[in-house]
Amino acid sequence: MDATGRLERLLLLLSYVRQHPGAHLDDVARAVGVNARELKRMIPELSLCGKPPFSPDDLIDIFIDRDGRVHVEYDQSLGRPMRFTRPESLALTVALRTLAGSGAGPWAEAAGAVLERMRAVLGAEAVAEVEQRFAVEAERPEAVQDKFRVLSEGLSQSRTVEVVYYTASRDELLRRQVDPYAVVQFLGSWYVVGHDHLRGEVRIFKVERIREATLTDARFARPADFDARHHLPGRALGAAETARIRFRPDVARLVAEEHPPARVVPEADGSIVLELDFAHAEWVAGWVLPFGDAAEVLEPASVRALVAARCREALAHYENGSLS
Amino acid sequence: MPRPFEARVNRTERLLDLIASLLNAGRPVAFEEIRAWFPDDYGEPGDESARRKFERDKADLLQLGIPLRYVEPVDDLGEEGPGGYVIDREQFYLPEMRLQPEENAVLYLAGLSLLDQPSFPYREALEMALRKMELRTSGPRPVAEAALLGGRVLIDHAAGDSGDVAERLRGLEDALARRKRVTFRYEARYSGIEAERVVEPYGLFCRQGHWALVGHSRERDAVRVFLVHRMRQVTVNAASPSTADFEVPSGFRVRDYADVPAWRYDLGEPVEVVLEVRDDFAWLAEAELRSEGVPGEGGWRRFTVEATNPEALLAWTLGLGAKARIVGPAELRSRMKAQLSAMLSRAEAS
Repeated sequence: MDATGRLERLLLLLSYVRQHPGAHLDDVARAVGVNARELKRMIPELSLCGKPPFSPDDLIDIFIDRDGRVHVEYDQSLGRPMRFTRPESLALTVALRTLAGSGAGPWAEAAGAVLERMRAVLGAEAVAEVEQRFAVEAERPEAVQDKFRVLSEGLSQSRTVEVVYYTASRDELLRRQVDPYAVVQFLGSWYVVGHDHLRGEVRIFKVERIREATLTDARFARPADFDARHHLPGRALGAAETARIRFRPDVARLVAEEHPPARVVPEADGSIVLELDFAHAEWVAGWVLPFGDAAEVLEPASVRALVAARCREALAHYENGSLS
Repeated sequence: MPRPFEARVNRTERLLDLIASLLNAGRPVAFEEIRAWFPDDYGEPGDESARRKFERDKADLLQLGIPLRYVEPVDDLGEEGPGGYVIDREQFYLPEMRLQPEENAVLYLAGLSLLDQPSFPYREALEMALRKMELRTSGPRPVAEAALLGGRVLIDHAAGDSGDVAERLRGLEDALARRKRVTFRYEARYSGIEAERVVEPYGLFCRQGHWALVGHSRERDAVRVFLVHRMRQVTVNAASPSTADFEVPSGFRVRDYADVPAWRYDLGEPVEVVLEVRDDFAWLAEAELRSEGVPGEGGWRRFTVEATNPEALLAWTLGLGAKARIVGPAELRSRMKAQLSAMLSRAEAS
């Protein structure tokens, strides 16, 4: 930590103890973001500082008592947090702006309102700067915000929601009832996690793929031990099989950088073979198809057959006379 | 009266003394007086290196956002007064914020989610800001509030980028803030050709966990997007560090680049592509193609888009299987057909 970083930490310590007199040093350390040993070094350091004429009453008086509690007697006017630094303002603005622009119904609106209320404190400059040159995840609120209105009500009132949902991994569009337990934003996309009445288990649904959502009057109780963290997308839940897919050298790097979790085996000619665990053959086929003839499914035969079937169906559109 | 201690231990303490002294002085303090307070640090009159030390300290305090300023002995109205340095008390402290519990929760939800992203260039600042906020908000403990909400709303900006991207991002962000040119080697995404690029950095965005730099490319004489994980040997122009190399055009907004679909990547002359999507899936296509389309014949919806990278539309259409088809131009349509035939014959070969 450099001199100014250290200075900020010391001032934070002083403010915290001012606000929580007699707090235990472990709690103080946690609030300041240092360990107890560092804290014990910081306190005497603070006690050396003050204002002219530097008589005892002019120095910061902070100490740890016998029970390990921290007290401050004189703070020399430094016991309240300083204004945000430029990086702090930028960081908070990015965070709020990201949520505000995410289309997440009431939470997005609240984030926008907080940003508005804090504008004076953050500084109009920081807000403008972030607007110009910082973005975390693209803003596509229109793709999700209507559905969020329904989902957020279901979530806050514990009411079942009926959705029409397109399942890419099975290539089917079905109406189903879902008890929304949580909404999750992962890698820029929103998902709803909840009990799916159709399958009788907890499932994850991408909000963009919900065609319609309506609130029902049925109530549900969320299991007390539910933890959304255990249901993040991208986990090949129930993955039972492994597909091997070869990619031509010209796309190998792109695939190696941006593929879903899989093992990558380089080949002598510059191509790569990806070993991908999967639960649904439809999902693998849908993922491979956009690569065109730059990708070839080597195994299993079921996925090869599915790719062949998809190509055959699509090809029918291009046979003579099939298109006006 | 000078500080009655041995030569001080470190610079942090000197800065802290300086803040406490000026904050409590309640009047402008001339440099000569400051020098008398800290003779070990700011030296004797005429000591130029000591004076420079004070200038460096001042710069650090300003960097921290401390409202330190110099008041002229004669003010704008011609009134004479003591000239010197002041720290405005009004401006020094973070005002109290009376946020509602829900607002607090949302603030922490937004903040904590970015704190978990290892490559976010302002992570440390964000941490400090949230800790300060916690001391300036009244009402229930905000972290408890966030936990209450966090069970139902979870944001994970999971980094798709590896660890060295974080370091590179810090460098780029610094170049961005000081408006300095950067040079790096870059392998173009579609052509695979690696070349040196000289770029004036305008902005950064993160999309699906990957960070990208938007800037003016000298080679192309146009604004381009570069994936940070593809950059190698990134260097920031070290000449005249405190002078900006360029100006960001007014009206530039990084979001305009963050939200560009792959088929609009600037890789060639625009081509008008016509494609059709089966009616029952048109709602999914609308979001991707940014258009509502028009009703086509026999259960299809027709979309017409200007593509500068039609390759991406080909890939997208392939992914939809029989649910979508390319109508034109004829060249793209026949390439689609050729691709499908090649894929089919290979998939059928045993």
